[in-house]
Amino acid sequence: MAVLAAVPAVGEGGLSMDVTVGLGGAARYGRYTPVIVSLENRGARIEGTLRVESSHIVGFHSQIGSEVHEKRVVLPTRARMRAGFAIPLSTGARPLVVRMMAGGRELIRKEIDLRSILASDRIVAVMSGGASLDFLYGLENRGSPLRLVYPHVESLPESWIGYDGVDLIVLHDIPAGKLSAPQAEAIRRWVTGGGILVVSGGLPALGHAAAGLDALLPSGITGVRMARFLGGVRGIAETRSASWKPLLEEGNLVLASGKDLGAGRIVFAAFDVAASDLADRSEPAGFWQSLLERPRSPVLNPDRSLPADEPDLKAVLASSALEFPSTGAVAVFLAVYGACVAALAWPRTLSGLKPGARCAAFASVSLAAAVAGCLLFGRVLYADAAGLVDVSVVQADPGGLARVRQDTLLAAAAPGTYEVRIASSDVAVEDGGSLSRDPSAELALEVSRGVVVRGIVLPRYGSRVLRLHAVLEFPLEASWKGGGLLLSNRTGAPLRECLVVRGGTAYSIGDAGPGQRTIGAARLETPAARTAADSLRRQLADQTIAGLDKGATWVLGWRTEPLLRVEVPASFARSVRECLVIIEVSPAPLREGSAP
Amino acid sequence: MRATNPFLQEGLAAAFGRRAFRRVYTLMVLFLAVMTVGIWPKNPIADFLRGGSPPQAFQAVSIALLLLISYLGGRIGLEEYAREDFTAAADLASLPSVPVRAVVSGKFLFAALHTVFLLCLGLPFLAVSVTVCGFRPSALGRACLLIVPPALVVRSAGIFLNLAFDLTPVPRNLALFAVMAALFAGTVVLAPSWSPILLLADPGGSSAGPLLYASFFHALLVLCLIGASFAAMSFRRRRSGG
Repeated sequence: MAVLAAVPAVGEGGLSMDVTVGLGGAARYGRYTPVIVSLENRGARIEGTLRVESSHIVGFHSQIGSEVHEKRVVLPTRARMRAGFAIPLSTGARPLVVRMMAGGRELIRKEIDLRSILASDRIVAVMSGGASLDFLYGLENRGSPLRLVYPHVESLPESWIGYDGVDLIVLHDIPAGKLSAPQAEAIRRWVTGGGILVVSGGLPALGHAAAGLDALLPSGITGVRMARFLGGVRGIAETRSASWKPLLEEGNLVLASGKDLGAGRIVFAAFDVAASDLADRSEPAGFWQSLLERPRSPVLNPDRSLPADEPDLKAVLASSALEFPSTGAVAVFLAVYGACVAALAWPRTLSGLKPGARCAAFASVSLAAAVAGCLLFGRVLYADAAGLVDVSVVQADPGGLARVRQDTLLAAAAPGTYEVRIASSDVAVEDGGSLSRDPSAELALEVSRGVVVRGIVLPRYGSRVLRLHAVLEFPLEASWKGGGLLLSNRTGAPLRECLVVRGGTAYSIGDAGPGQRTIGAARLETPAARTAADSLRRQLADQTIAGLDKGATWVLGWRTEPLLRVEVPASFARSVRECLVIIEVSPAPLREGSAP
Repeated sequence: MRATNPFLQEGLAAAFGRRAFRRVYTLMVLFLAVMTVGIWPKNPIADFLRGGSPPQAFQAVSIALLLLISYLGGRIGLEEYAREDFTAAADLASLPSVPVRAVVSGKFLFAALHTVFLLCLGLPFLAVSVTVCGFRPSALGRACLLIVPPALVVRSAGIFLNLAFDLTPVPRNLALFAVMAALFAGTVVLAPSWSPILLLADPGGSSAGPLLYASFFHALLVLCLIGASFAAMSFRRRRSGG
């Protein structure tokens, strides 16, 4: 990476460009990776588009699949700027091409060979001013090889998607500056999405608040005291995190504790994890080994082409929006037309008219029926453009964030080129291809305030599936309180047709509007007859309930509006949006530091 | 509509006054209605999206309409329906007061108008299926341009056979089938790019070239058949001493 960044490309009019790919110079096959483009303009003002083009070889026939990520750029004279992207690097990735375009011309271009940075190693990113965790290479390794990287703070991504390739992040100390709020938030969202974060204690913990790391520790660090443990006298950081689960103890000292956050986990090691004399001790080695062996199932997967029998997609395809006008409707329409023709053909009907007038009467009825047929079967009963079906599953987490997985199916009867606008910019868009397995054409994503997916070319009866992933603010909590269920909904929108699911059985509790609501135990005695009236909702709810942990209690409900709003700027007669929210009921109201 | 040509008037009077014709229209509409309902897509749209093969109802209806209009038009050209209402060709040949030009122009003008009328009868069936099969409504215009000229060729062939030869019903109908086979099956094999059947099977084709070539080809055939009918009628007139 250093080599990549050291040779800036120089383009027209005094424009130069540096490109940094990967986190600390490492990236993984089949994951997203951060790409940071630095531009410097010594010439006239530039207004254009910065493009990062990734392509990869698909299948045995060596077809090229490609994706273009774009950002609009305004660069005044003598100005510098940095633009960050999160680019999917599929297996079989070809060189990245970064170019600046303005007025249809290419001002500057840089091609980056990914072979030197791409690997299938697990990546551990260590944020530290100088300490080394290279001793981790010596641990008994049961998974794929490790790769330790030490990225600079300023090159850390500000989107959780940029950390997709990382298996473990260790925050030791940040001497030069601090994490920006977006960087800290991005790490928090990455953890919620399934990442593991280790925050080091010991003396470096005293600098965590100033470095912005405190935001990642819900309890905060109250101080550091000296104590004898792990064979020496060392600093041990103290927190208020009584509800955290102890992971490593010595005597009555909790040396490391952890807390699940969404699908991931934050681990707080009270000691300095990089202390050089700990490298040979067995206790920390076991601690690290347990962390590194914990399998991380990545949320994102650029290699995946969604199979049509995937449960969410099956629910999408079962949508009533995707039905032809009924045979009965066409039979009735044609029967009426046939009756009109038969009536005109009846000898007495037009007996007084001349042949020309009779011809005109027949023709008028036929033309009127043709126009009516066009309108009825082309507009009213069947959309002449396309249909959009969104199905999203929102898994709310007690930390106030929610993981959103949304399948968007764009299907069109008539051929055309479409554009999809997604309201959020911090969203990963995976191309699920078409349902018919036709080779996908290029996909262009423009990221500004939201994401615009352009150039979706659909043939006749073509389809394109986009799977969106996001981690968003969603303050919804559910907990047991005094034998009842306390639902705290601060999302600003009601949840409709809520269900409580215990041991695989669903109990209907009605709607949950904004604010707090307590559901008495009596409501949870009669199971719901059916999970939802609508077939799409029922199918989605049934398959979600079947996949839930039966040992826990869950609340399910429907939002009227999806969290990720997707729009297609075209005249769509049909669009179906379903948003299912799931939250696991906590054993007690969630208050930091309070024991369950 | 004011028709001054007696042979045009004769045709219109038969086509919109005689029961045989009205029964033809009713049966044609009934056949197309049953066919449209029968081939209407019944599987969910998802099946077509998964399979990547759109419904073919529009193509099937338009090809059926082409064959139906051509066959009925050919039989009308042969004066198979309400034969008693039309002046026989042999009589026309022996009447020197009736100009050959008036006979030919009247019969062909009626053929053109009546072919368009038959197309109008079938238009609602195309209209209901065009969008469902994934075509823009403009595909209707393209289908009409592909149906009328070849149907007119068969109709013209029927008129020519009727004016040129005094055939009995069986050879008349055999000749009509031969013309249709040559025009529709023959072009599929020998000139696929001009074949109306193949062009109707792909109504979404973006290129206008084949459509123009096919229309030109069929127009040329119609003009040839008009000329041949004129020549045959003149020959018969001379032979009968008129």
